[in-house]
Amino acid sequence: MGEEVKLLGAWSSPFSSRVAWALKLKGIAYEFVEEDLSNKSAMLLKYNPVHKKIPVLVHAGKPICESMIIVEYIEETWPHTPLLPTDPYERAIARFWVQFAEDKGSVAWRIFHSTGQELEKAIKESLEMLQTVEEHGLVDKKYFNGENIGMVDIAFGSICYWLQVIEEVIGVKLLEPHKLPRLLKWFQSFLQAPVIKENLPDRDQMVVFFKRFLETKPA
Amino acid sequence: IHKKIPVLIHNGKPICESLIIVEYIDEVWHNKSPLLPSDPYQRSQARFWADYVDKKAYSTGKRVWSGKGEDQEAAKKELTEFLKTMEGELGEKRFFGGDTIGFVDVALVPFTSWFHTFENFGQFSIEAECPKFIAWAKRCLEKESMAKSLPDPENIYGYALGLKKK
Repeated sequence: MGEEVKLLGAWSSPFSSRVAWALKLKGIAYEFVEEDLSNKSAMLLKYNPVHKKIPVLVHAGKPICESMIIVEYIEETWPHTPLLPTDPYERAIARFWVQFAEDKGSVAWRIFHSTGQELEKAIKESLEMLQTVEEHGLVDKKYFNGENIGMVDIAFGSICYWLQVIEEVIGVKLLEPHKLPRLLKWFQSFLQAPVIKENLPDRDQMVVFFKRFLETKPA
Repeated sequence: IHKKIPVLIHNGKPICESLIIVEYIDEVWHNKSPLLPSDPYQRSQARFWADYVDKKAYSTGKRVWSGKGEDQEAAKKELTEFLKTMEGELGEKRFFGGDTIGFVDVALVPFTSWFHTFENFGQFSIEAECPKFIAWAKRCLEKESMAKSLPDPENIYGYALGLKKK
């Protein structure tokens, strides 16, 4: 596939990272275009008129939107280093957990935006989400996808990495080893995987960035 | 996990979440009437639009039939915009899947069973606002498999009336 691959994204976005990880895991060369989310470019608005959001993958001039839909596209277009199992039933299970990450993952961001009772509720729901993954999602293998990182690992990897940033910015602790031992073991493996390790946005920089974002937010 | 229907049980193994089940069915019985295109780009577009339907349709629709006053008016406007966006995506095609019914058609057509309810509660005509959309829905209902498996809109209206009374 010799056609040009472009990723419109943002360094601090978990959704953007998911796509970058998928591309890097498969060794696909691409151009990264950093979008200023406070001043969205004409190109972004042209390529994602419905949601006007990053990430957008542009392959041979054609745009694909929504992070996990992009990851599935990458998986189908460049089938080497598979991110999904081959068996249809196992694929359905993987898709189920990706969907779960999509539906429930955003609750972690409510921690970031809330105070008081809303914050307590968001923390409770986030813990429930993590507990469900701990009890039902993890299998007795290194990653959700077996011996190699797959789509579900990518989906939850972004949630957990950014959750650690939120923990630091807000001063709460959710990812505790005694509460979520298997999840944290999986997460350590994920962070140490060669491709992932080299493509993690700097955590300290993100803490500064998100703290500043909170301070400048209108009340 | 979710304690919800639908659940498909195939050879004793359960699969949950409607569109995930549809993809599973498409993969296992791939020789008959494929619902997703074979080209990866077109598949990504089908998934995008089905995802958009899932995110937008039912939550907006609910506000139309259960809302009041300003919120209901806002919901009606959003619903109309949503249907117009879908009309734009349909373009001149017979179905979202092209000449045959596809993934997006399957995702969207059950929503049309609720239109009678929206129109009654919202006091407006969807056909007047979005004729192309209604024309598409009618084409889908010409397919016996679709027509037979969808609930009667009158039953849905009765159901909604019951819910509103609680």
